Amino acid sequence: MPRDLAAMMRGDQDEPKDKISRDMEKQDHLAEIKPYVQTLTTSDIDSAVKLEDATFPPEERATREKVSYYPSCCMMLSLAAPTRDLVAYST
Amino acid sequence: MAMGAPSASLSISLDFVIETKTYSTIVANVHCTQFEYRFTKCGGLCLGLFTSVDMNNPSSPLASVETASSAHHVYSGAPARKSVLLAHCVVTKTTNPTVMDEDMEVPKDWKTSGTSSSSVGHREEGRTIAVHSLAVLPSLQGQGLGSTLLKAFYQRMGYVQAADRIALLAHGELVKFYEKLGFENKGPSKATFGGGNWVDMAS
Repeated sequence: MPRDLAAMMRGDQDEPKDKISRDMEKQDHLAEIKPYVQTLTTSDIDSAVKLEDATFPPEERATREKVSYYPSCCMMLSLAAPTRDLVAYST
Repeated sequence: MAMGAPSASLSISLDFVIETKTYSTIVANVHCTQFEYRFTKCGGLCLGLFTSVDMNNPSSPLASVETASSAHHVYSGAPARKSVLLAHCVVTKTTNPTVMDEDMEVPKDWKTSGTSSSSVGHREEGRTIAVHSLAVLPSLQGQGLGSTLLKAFYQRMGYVQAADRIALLAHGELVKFYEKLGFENKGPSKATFGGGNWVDMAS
C-alpha cells in the first residue's frame, strides 16, 4: 500500500467520530470475521506460540514451555474441588 | 462451596453422593465420567478467539495470518475450512492480589508432580486470576477482538466462580484500554518480567 494511502487511512481513523458510529464500525468488522471463543487445549499450543511471537517483543513472549503449562494446569480451574470430593468418596 | 447457575446439576449430584455413601463408589464413578466430560468441554479458563477460514480461498486475508499454518480442521462439510486462532487470553490462578514474578514462572516438575503443590506458577487455591497474555494478531488489532475476548473471559469467570478478581500487568499505553474495560490502576508493579516497568491492574 502506498505510504500516503496508509497515512490517509490512519488519518481517517483519527478523525473525531461519535462513539456509536465507531462501535458500529467495529461490530461490522467483527461480524465479517465471525469470531468464536473456545477453551484453549494442548492441541492449540503451536498456534498460541505463533500468536505470542507475532504479538510481543522477545522479552515479553510466553515461551513454548509456558504456553504448554498454562492450559494444562487451568483445564480444571475451580470445578476441580468437587471432583476431589467425589474421588475421596469413591475410595 | 458456592455454585453458580450453570453448576446447579453438579451441586445436586454432589448432594446425592453425600446422602448415599453406601453406593458412593458406583455413583462417583458415573459422575466423574460426566464431570470429566464437562471439564474438558467447559472447565478451562485459558480462552482462544478463533474463526473458521476457507484455506483454499486466496483472497481471504485470514488464510495467510501467522497462526494459519497450525490451524485445525473445522468439523464441517467443508474440508478446506480451518479454525484459525486470532487472539488468546492465557491465565493461571494466584494467591497474590496482583501479578507477581513467581506467578509468571513455571514449576520445573509440573509434568510429573501435578500442579497445585508448587509455590510458583498456578495456585489452585488462589482467588485472583493472573492474565499472562492477552494477545491479538497484529494485523487484526484495533477492531475490538481483544475486548471481546476479555468480556467473554469475564463472563465465563462469573459462570464458574473461579476467582474474585482478574489481575494483569500493562505498559503505559495500554493502561487506558484496560481502564475502559473496568480494570483499576493499582500503581507501579514490582514485577520485573520482560524488563519491568509495568503497571499493576486489577478488576
